[in-house]
Parts: sequence; structure tokens; C-alpha cells
Amino acid sequence: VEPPAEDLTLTPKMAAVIKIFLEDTQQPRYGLELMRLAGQPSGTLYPILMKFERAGWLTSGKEDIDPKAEGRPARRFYRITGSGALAAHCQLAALSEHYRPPATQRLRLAPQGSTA
Amino acid sequence: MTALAWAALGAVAALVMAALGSLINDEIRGWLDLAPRAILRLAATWLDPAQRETIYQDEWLPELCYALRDAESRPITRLIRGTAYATSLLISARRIARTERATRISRTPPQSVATSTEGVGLVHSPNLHSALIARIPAVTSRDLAEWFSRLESGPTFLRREERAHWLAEDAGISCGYAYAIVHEYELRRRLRLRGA
Repeated sequence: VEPPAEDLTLTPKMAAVIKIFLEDTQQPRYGLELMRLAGQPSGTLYPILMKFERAGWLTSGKEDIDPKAEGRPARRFYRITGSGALAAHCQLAALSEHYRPPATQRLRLAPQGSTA
Repeated sequence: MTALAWAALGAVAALVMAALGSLINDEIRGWLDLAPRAILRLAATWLDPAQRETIYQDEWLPELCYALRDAESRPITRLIRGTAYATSLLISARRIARTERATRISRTPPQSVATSTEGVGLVHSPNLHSALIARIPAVTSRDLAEWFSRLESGPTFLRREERAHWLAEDAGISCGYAYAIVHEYELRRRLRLRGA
């Protein structure tokens, strides 16, 4: 039985990573691919993946290849859990609410050439 | 020395230079791959011995090998890609080690509003749940009473997650808000039954 996902407060960088998993919840994702898609360097990405995995949002496994035939060791992949997907939806909604500009305020732009 | 002898000597010298050039090329290619690996090994020295197995051997090194192999025919790309990957890890290795230790130690059963008998599910902290419930009228343009009556007139489900999924799809709201509505509905219903 899949354990329930713990609550995590998302930062924008974490949101950029978890969104990739939500695009296809069955798709296993690898470190380099995530770095490229999320635009995060390896040093930022791995701590984020660790937090998600420890919170039960992600699960990881080893790539199913023959290392001798491929000439390289098997990589670690990550996949989002069912409860992780629900938690991610919820937290992304909360984050989006947090950054949403107030609806009642109109954006007033100063005319071009004017000084403040 | 005749012109013919000079020409032969020149040809031999050209052959030797070409062979040497090829050898130097191979040598440089070998070193290009070693540089990112050396940086990665250096980064791994910041990890605890136990972490080295799980982080360095299982994750960092296979990913670097894949990156280098992927750009096999492009030595400069390989060098840039491998060095960027390894250098970023070298800079953050101490932080990664700390994060790994912290997440490993602090992993305790979540304090949540969901009960353990409910099996697979999303666990909202009470604070997050309250925050979501408070935002629902503004986000969905409907108050909770309207959502509750929609749940009552909807199909019956055994599990909260199934009901939340149905509500999210039926009403076109995010799963997180749907789950919060269903959860709040169940909480109030339970309270009503206890009070009755």
C-alpha cells in the first residue's frame, strides 16, 4: 500500500520540478532530463528530489538496462506517486494563489516619457 | 642528398606527425572525460561514507556517464556538459549531504487530519486544509454550502480520493481544492452525526 504523502511547502523551484512529473504521471524521469526541463542545475535539483522522495511524493528505482551491453551504469529514475500527484496539485494551487495579483487593483502604467 | 630522398623523408615525417596528432587527440579525449569524473569524485568527498554509495554510485556517476555517452561524438559538448554537471554538484555537495541527513532524520509519520485507516491518500496538514477551505469561495465563486449540496446530489463513492477526483473533473476545479471540499464535508457530517 502506497503511504500517504506528507505536506510540503513548495518553493517556485520545487514547483518547476514537480510540474514536470504531473505532465505525465506514469513517465519515469531522470536527473539530466529534469535539469534540462526545469532549468535547474544539478546542485539545486538533487536536494529537491530528495525532499520529494522523503515526503512520499516521488518514488525512485533503477533503470532496467544491462550495464555491460549499454557500456554505462543504470541510472536512477523518479516517478510521482498517486498521493504525491494529489498533494502536488493542491500545493501548486496554493502557490498559484499566493502569487496571483489582487483582482480588484488595476495595473496603472505611467505614460511613456513621464517622470515619477 | 637527392631530391627523391628529401621527398621520401618528408613523407615519412608527415606520416609520423599524423600518427602523433591522432595519438594526442585520443589522449586529450581521454583527459576530457576524466576531468568531470575527477570533479565529481571531489564532490563526493563531502558526502558521508554511507551517502557515497546511494548518492554518488547510484545517482551522480550513472547520470554523468549517460551525459558523456550521449555526446560521444562531440568532445567539446561532452566536456562542457560533464564539467557543468559535476561542478554544480561540487559547489552544492555539502548542502546536498546536509539535506540528505536532515530529510533522513526528520522523516516521522505525518501529523495529519487523515486517519491511517484511509489507506492511499493525500494528507493535508490542518493549517493547509483551513487555508484551502477559506480560499474556496474566492477561487471557485461558490460557497461551501453549494459544494456540499453538489456532493450530496452526486454519485456515491467508497473512498474520499475517488469522490475528490469525480468532483474535480465534474466541476473543473483542481484536485487539491476538490479534496479539501470532500474532506471538509466528511468532517462536518461526522460532527453532525455525533451531535445527533
